[in-house]
Amino acid sequence: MNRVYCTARSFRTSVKSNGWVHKWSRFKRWQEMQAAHVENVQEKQRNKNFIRLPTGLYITPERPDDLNPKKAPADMTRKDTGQLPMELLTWHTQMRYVDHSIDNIKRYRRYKKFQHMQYDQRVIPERLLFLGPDLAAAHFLVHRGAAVKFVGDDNWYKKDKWNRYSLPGRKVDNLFIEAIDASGTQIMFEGLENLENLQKLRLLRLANSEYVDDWCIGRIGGLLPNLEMLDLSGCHRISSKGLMGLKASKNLKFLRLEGLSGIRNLGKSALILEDLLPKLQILGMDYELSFRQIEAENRLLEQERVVLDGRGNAFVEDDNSRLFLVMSTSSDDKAVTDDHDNPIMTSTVRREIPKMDDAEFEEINALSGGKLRHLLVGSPSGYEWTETTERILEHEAELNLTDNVITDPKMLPRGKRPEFELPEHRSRLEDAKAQFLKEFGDFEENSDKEQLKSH
Amino acid sequence: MRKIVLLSQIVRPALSSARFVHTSTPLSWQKFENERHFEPGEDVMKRVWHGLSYDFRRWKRRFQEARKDAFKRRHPIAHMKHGTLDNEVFPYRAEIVIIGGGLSGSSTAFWLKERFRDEDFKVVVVENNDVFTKSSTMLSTGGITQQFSIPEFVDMSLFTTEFLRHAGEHLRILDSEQPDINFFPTGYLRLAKTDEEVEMMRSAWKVQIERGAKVQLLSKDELTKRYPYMNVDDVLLASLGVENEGTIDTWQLLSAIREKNITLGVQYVKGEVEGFQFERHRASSEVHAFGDDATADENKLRAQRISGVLVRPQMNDASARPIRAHLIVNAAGPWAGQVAKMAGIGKGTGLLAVPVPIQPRKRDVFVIFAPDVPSDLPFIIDPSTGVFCRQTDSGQTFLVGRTPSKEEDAKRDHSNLDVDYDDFYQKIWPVLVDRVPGFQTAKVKSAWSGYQDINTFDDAPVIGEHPLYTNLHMMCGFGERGVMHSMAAARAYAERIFDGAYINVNLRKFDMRRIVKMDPITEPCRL
Repeated sequence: MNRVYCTARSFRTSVKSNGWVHKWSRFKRWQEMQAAHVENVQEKQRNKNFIRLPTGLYITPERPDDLNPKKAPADMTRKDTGQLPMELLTWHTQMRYVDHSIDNIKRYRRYKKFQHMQYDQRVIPERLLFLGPDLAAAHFLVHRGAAVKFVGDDNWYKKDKWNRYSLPGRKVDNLFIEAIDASGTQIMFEGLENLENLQKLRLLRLANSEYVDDWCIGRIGGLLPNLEMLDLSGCHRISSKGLMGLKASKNLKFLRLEGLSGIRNLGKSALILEDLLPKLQILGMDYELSFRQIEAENRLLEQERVVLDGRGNAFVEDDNSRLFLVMSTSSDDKAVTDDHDNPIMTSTVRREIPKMDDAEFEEINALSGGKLRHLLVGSPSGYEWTETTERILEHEAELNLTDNVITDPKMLPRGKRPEFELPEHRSRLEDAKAQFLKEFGDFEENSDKEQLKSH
Repeated sequence: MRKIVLLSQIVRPALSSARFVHTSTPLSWQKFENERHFEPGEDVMKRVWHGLSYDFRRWKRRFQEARKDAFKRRHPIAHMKHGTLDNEVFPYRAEIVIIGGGLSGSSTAFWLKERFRDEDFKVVVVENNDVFTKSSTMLSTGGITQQFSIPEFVDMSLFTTEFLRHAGEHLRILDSEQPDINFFPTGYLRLAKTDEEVEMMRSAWKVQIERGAKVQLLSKDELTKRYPYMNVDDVLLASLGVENEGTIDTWQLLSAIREKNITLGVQYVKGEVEGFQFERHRASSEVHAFGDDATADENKLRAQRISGVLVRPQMNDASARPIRAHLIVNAAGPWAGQVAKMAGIGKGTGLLAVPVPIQPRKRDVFVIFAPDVPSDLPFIIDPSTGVFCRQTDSGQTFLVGRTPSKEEDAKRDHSNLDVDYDDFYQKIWPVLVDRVPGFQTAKVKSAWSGYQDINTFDDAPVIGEHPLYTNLHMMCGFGERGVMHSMAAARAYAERIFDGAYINVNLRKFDMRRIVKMDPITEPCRL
């Protein structure tokens, strides 16, 4: 029966354990909390078993420290030496920083939910021993919104609309998982450990999973060597580097990567992976977009003023031999914003303007996607680089006008700075497409004639 | 009439010349409010006036800052900050001063503020990051592995990988997007060629499996089957990491930690550490007045404690000024030994005669392109020659280098950072070709040289307080293991401060007592 028992004890325990003050998110590891809990239980057992009468009564020792295992003085914590914990001493002084806004409560609960998921998706050894690897994985996955399919069974097992599912509650021989559809779930790296020892798993679908990242792909490559079909569409946390974690999956035949156009250099990794795994075919990859991005990068690197360093970062060198970053190997698109999506911190310390021609400056700025001017105004890291940069430029131009300060023409806002005709770059992709159509246009015409003749 | 005419002739040029003089207000770019610090009892009247007028000066400063805010935010404490680094304004006092803003120092600041967030608990990081060639974090290849024989090393690596796995969640700022520490998952492949190496590899593997790492032992047949392009005739046993091994982008991780630190209240100060400030223990007497003259100097050195760090700002002709601190962390990386020498460590007698044996050692990294080597080559380490081969990006571009032995490292010249290309063509390339014949067609694309903080005494870092100056905490000497071990060491330091002892990973064996006792720690699994 689905009856909820709400007693004073459970209410007090839940409120106390959750922490009734939303202070801030704090890093915790469930392994350490579990170990501390086990140690606490053992300590209580030692105290109770000090003198235990046959009737069940017990007498605790006068000095409980005598029963604890001996530690070196340098290893004794504040609890061992009897000092008050630091949290108790400083609890009241930190109340002035408590933020009771709805946004902060949401942030607090978001991080707490993440920490709970780390604990919730751990491997439970008792379940694994009782059910076997395949059935344990099936229970783990179906309970969290996934669907599984077994070998020789055409049914997909998943929860119905009342969150009920029917799976065997004890070990069944010759029951092997063949396919898993965990798309849209919140499975993370810790949860993927439950898929270990699935010998006959062929299909794994993790499309649109929020927490699938490079580490998950590395674990899939190491844990599931017999995998044949993998779907990573819509997993926006993976990168081109992480995709190389699949190079140990020698039996992989299909890899689906739809909806990942924002990831840099993903097409390159896909091509390399297809070279490494001869059976592999990658679906959903937009190679045209990847080629266009690489072409844009090469167009920037072909400029005379652009130099590369040993790590692959590109800088533009002005007439005074000063370097200004225009392309970085690290992805720097992440924004640090406040609640109104404005940058949290902008620097008013300005760098000197690069000494070069205005037209040349404008061209390199356009080729770098606005990054050159973005870094000159202090790298505000807004969501929209260009709009944030223009806003700062406009504000600074007004301020300089008020203070009778001359503004460099390169740092005037859009609409006020001199406009230059940027050279039109013809794309090699379009040239290749035009060449292709020119060569094979007759084939299409002939095929049309064949169709007319057949009719 | 003549007098009147003469007067007009005298006055007229001055009046007419006034119309041609243009004036403009001289505009100072930024008025730094260099707060005055008053010692107890010093200048009572000025101190009173300073206290009474502080609110007005703060209102004026906030108005000026809000005027420069392009986004016109109205929250009273959300005024725009000057920048991540104040070049002139130094704090007079801090609870903890961390010397060095690299990965070790920034991680230490992060874990201190993660554990205890209070505005009055000031954590100051002193760094000098103008010279990028001397930054060991940015020039690191970012390798992460768990294949060690010391259990604490395996624990530290496992903790670091666990933190980096969800670093986006831990280092997120308000509701911004999560920082992305790109991870390139590839296992490290260690090869044993003699029976002693096989036994050492087996015992190390047991340690790793016991601590929870996922490492696989491969025989020669398994190795040949898995990597047919590799020459493994002389190999008896191999060890391959299955997961949690690879390379990360160290610059991305450092910038994410720094941004998180700034929002947590850590103050980054750009300056050069020039010395330390000492003061006498309150319980001890003035030894030069009351003690023996022959041993007064030595007794004074022993009876004092470090109370501050002398930091010189980056401006010209600026003198060093003290930042008083209760606890000081020496996370200066390759220059930790020199920083400790400023405190007299290694120059005195007795306990002060024992130096911090950290030296800046030059390491060359070559970026080579090998079109005939498959892209699924694992990270190779040759234990006898120290040649390593790693990747940081997909493709056939490899980062190769060599870790020389201690004897050879002591003879080399580490003062200049010119890349020694002969080292590649004579000592690195032949080893690679012997192992993987596809490296014959390899070409050098680029190369760089960087410093690493190498412990010349043994193979372990120096973590822990100095035996005499117990508030000076060493966190240096990680060498090639800086990325994978500094995060765990920083968290252990926070545990040490707030809980009184190490709890999760016990790092007591890495403090300076082993150097005093001349008891080195050996780690045969080289990187």
